[in-house]
Amino acid sequence: MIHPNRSYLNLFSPFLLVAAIVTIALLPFEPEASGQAEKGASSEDWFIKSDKDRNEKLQTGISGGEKRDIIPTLPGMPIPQSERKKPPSPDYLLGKVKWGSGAVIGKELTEDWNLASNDMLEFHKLARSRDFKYMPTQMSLAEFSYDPALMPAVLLSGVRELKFTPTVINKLRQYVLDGGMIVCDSVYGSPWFYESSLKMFDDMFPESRFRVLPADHPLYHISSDIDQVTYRSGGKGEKGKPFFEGLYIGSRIGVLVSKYGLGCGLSGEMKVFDELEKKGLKPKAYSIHSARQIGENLAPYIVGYGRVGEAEGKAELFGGIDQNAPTSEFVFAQVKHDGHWNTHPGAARQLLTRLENDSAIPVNLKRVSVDLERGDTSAYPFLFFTGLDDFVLTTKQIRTLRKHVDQGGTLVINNGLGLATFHQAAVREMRRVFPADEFRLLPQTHEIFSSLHTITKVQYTPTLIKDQGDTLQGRPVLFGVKIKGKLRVIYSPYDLEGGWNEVRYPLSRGYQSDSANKLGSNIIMFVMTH
Amino acid sequence: MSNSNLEQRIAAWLEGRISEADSETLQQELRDSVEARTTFKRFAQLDAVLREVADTESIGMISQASGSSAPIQKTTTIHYIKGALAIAAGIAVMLTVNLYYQYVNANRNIARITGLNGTLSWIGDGGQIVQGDTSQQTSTRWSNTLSEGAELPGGTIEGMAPDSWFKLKFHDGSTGMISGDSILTFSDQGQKELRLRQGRFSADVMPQLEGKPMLIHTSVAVLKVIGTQFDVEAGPESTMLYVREGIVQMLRVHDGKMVDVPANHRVVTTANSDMLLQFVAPERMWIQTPVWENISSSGDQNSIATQEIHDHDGTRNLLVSEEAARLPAQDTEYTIRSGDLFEFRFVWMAGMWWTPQDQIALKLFTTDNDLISGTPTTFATILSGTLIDARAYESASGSATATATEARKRLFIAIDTEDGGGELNGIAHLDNFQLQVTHFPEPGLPRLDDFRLQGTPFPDPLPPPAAEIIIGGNIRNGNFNEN
Repeated sequence: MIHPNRSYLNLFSPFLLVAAIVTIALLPFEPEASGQAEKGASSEDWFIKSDKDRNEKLQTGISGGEKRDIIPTLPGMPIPQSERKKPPSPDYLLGKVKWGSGAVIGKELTEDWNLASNDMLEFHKLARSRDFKYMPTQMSLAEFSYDPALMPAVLLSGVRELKFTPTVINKLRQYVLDGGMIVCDSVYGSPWFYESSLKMFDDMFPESRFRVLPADHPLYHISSDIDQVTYRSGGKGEKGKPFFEGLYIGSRIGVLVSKYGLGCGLSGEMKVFDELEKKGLKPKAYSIHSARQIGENLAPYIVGYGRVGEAEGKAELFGGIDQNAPTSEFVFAQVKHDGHWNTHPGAARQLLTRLENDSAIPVNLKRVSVDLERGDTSAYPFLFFTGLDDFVLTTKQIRTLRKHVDQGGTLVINNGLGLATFHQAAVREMRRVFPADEFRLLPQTHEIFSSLHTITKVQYTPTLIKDQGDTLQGRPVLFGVKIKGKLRVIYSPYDLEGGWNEVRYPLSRGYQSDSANKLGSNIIMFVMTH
Repeated sequence: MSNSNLEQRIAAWLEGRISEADSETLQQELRDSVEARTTFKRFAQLDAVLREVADTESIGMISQASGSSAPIQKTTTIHYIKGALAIAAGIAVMLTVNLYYQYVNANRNIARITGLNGTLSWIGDGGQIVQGDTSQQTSTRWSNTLSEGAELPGGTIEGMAPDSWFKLKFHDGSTGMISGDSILTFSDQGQKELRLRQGRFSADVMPQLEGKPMLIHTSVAVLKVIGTQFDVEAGPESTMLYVREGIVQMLRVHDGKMVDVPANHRVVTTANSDMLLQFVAPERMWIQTPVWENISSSGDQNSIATQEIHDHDGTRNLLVSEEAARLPAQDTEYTIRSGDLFEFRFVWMAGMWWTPQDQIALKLFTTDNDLISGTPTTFATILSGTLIDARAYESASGSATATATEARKRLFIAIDTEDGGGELNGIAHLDNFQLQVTHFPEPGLPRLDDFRLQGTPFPDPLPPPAAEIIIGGNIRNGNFNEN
């Protein structure tokens, strides 16, 4: 292993430079016409190397090897007894991918993937300042192991269109599903790279789609609060909200895309903007300060949600879509909606397994997804509705949900990770579904808190304790709506489902596992007996 | 510039026979010379008075003229009795023919009454004043009653009440109508010439003979109409012209400033106004109006719903009518909760035939099937109150509370009228309608609406209930605030 301090030396030595020139294929690039002057006639217009460079060296690749536990505990969080025994042997957190083609401009080799050549060094320096002692590295996709345990996240950066072969695309998809994270950085804010990365990953994950990260997303708060950033566009600075788009896999971001330059902000390489602007282009990047704030948050996010990815990445047995429920078994039917609806893969199965052990309820361990557009939910007396972000119900979906509860079904709504965006959407949309009915807090004497386990006090996640712990005084917070005199709609503003999985979700406002499991079991028992 | 030439050009313009070149010359003269403008004003006023007198007192004038000419004939020296007698007989025959011709000409009917309402006063037949209303009319020289179908030779018609209106049709098919407190003098001696002393006049004018446009005089302007549809409103110091179709030439009397007003434009002329053309968007029917619909028994969605003329703030306004064929309403898509307080406000102004006792009546209702077409049950009717000034927009507001009876049902609203004057044709203009709801929940366990995800979860005391706009601004307003 190369020591990180040494790796900073000799970056791009003449030998490496010559070797790179020889090995990199100079593929012709067909410019795509564009009517937008600010975008440029082709992505080649953006292909300019910054003068700023460092004579330092990165580790140039890792290969497969023995799987190591590389995710340390988040700063400030107690280390469980079981984890203390694990050897703290982290090597890599974020590897930079060599992709695409380069060109010799002047006397210098210019490579698309490495236009912001110091971004990795700056990122890892920031991570080290927060006690995340990983080493920077870069590798070609041929060298890449595609194993999240060895490399939790990879960075794809550039200005030209992102293109991979079908084989690589399949491998990258599996890497993300297994718990890995891909970060795409549109260096200088190139629209060519940005649009192509959105398209490529949209195609790669047809079951999900990119969503703008809400202001209260953990990425913006996990280390420091980033409510506002400064963008650099040429010599000008402008304030605004951070703008990242994420493609969720479970409750974590599997693919993160930065529309505006992050790496060049991290390394302060924005002199090239003048040259781009002379061409009529509109480069845009985060200021050095903002980029470093984001970098400081990105490291713990990768670490924290890497473990979530491991847990949620395990294969889950799904029932057939809208399959008819066996009459005698409890079926966990989960509503699909236009927001991110599958927030905690595997969590329901964990709860059902526990319920099977703790009670005499016959349980079907297969979770079933329900499409409200089909109109008929009569096979499922229990509907579970969860999410992370904004969603809007269609008129048909509203009618189906009303019909569901009018016919005696129960709807349980859960705020995955306890984020404000979903909460606001849930309150708004449930007003549409039940406009004349009011959600009221269920009293602690309510039967739902004693239907299986007697629940008098609950344990909250650290973030919720920090926010509201004193005022909540250990009481479970569930709201309900009575339809025809019976409790038919239950809403938990704090995350129940995350607790069913035996994993910590950083910055989640919810219940600890034991409390979440008891509450979940009680809710199901109540539904089965009413 | 000689005075005689100027006068000839003014006379030609007033008689509608001016050439294009002379018209340009005249305009230049009016722009350049105070003296020319004074001359023009004098001629225009004289012309209007002469025509008015000719129309209303033609018989007397003619009789007097004929009478005064007889002694001149009689001063002729008669040297020979036979010859004198023959000459006298000849003159008598000619005089009789002349008198008969003028008598017949003076009595030539030029228009027919096609509709009337309310109290009206007709001045004609040598100053004879005839008053009547829809139900009780007095015979006139030209017809037995001032009633629909009666033929008129020209004269002055005056609406005596806000709900008065009078429609006439000239023999060439041109139609005109006055409404409310309006005074119109009209004549047609081969060229239609009208004088609108005050009030509203709407016309649909057929193409006129070349060189003989319809002229409309007001206190401040003269309008020259070839063939078009337009509305005029005349006051003591201003005239508003709105042209729907075609083009109307408007000339300000005191300085001769002239503008051509094309379709969908209006101009307001006062002594000091710049006479700028203002675009006025076309009227829109119900089918072109989002959200609102006409739920009257006629269900006619092709009648006019909104217009921009008679605006409050430069945007559209909703036409509200006492007629049974119009009833604006909308499905608010709001589901009522027990304890809801509904508050509304709007501005409104009287239109044609609206009496001072009439009011806007806002109705909140539910239906048996939650569809606007269902059987309605009105749970609140709120009246606007009467207007203080019929010619200006005034504010109205009110509120109503829903009970458990209405809870869980869809809210519908209708903007109806409450008749106070006895007639049922009144029109009013309504704008900036806003309906908001504030929910006052029943006491009990904390509500989700009051819960806070961050910070203090259950604030104590609770913040006061917030109002939610159901209709207003750009929400469900039917584009009232657009052009």
